[in-house]
Amino acid sequence: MLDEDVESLISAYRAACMSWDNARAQWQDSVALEFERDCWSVFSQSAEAFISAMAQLEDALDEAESVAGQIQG
Amino acid sequence: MAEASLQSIGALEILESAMKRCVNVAGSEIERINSRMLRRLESLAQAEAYAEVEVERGREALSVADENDRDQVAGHCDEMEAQLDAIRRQKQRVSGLFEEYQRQASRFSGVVGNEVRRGLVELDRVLVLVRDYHSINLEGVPESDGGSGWTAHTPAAPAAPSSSLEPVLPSGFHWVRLDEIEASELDDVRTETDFKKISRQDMQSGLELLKSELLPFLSNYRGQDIKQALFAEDRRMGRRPPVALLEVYNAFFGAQDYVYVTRGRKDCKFRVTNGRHRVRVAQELGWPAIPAQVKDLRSHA
Repeated sequence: MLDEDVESLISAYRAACMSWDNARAQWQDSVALEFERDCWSVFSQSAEAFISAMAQLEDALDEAESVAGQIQG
Repeated sequence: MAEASLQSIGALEILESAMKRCVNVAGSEIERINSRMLRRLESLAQAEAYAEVEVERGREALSVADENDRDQVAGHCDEMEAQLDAIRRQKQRVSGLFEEYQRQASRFSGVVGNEVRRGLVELDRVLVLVRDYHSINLEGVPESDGGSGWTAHTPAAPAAPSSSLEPVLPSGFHWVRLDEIEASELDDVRTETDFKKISRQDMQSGLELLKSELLPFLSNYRGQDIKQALFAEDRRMGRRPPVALLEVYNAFFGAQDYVYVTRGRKDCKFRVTNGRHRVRVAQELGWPAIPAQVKDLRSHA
């Protein structure tokens, strides 16, 4: 189960992705292309990389804490 | 921009709202997530320290153990050392992933603070343009005739309008669609230096004033001396040339300097005899049409 802060962040990001998909389908001029290149692509790439790094760290911490738990009894 | 639909306004507004929410959430939650990760790392470090103490105790116990207990104590020591190795490996792995997490968190925060904020400014600008486009009432603007010639058009007269939003034009003037003007007519109006008499920015302000103030004023005016009335209104509002009602009125509806377009018998689109700069700026503002006097020689169907 995700922590509340992570869930809130991922939920906001996924909502933005859905609204982008919808807007992009209707907004198709040169300004939309620039917005996609200069803002949306950069934003979504960095968001995905951050979420992935966060998930890997959480998994590793879970495993490490499990080992630590065995040691400390 | 001229193809922007009313539906796209809703979609763009939802996008703007969703991205603003992302900015706000990122600002608060990344901080919380970082704190939580650091606390967990600290707990892990404490577990390692505990294991190290246990290993040390085990070694001490081994050094004083007698023959009968030595094997058992040694076995316990080995076990503790194996656990310490395990937790150190985990901690090393976590440290590497934590560094990567911090890099990505920093990058993401930076993107939210820079590219996304700039993108939101751009999105807001687009929404303003699209809303303005739809606020221009096209009542009286001739429909594109597909090559068959103008439909019969009665010059708009400043009669009593049904709504102050209707852009009534003075007698003799018509709304000319920008997509019916030959694009090459504007080739020599591109850069700031091409705007010699009045700056591009002042011209943009003038067109905005035409739409937001002058046309509604004309729609409601019933007096005899429009120029005097506009002059008085400018004084009342503290407006100064070149961005003042009287100047804009003279530029669009005055006796000499109005936008004038012509179309020959065999031409599809209009040529601009006067007013290229105003047409260019109207185009940049996303207007669908511009007030002008028209000479159209193309034969009617």
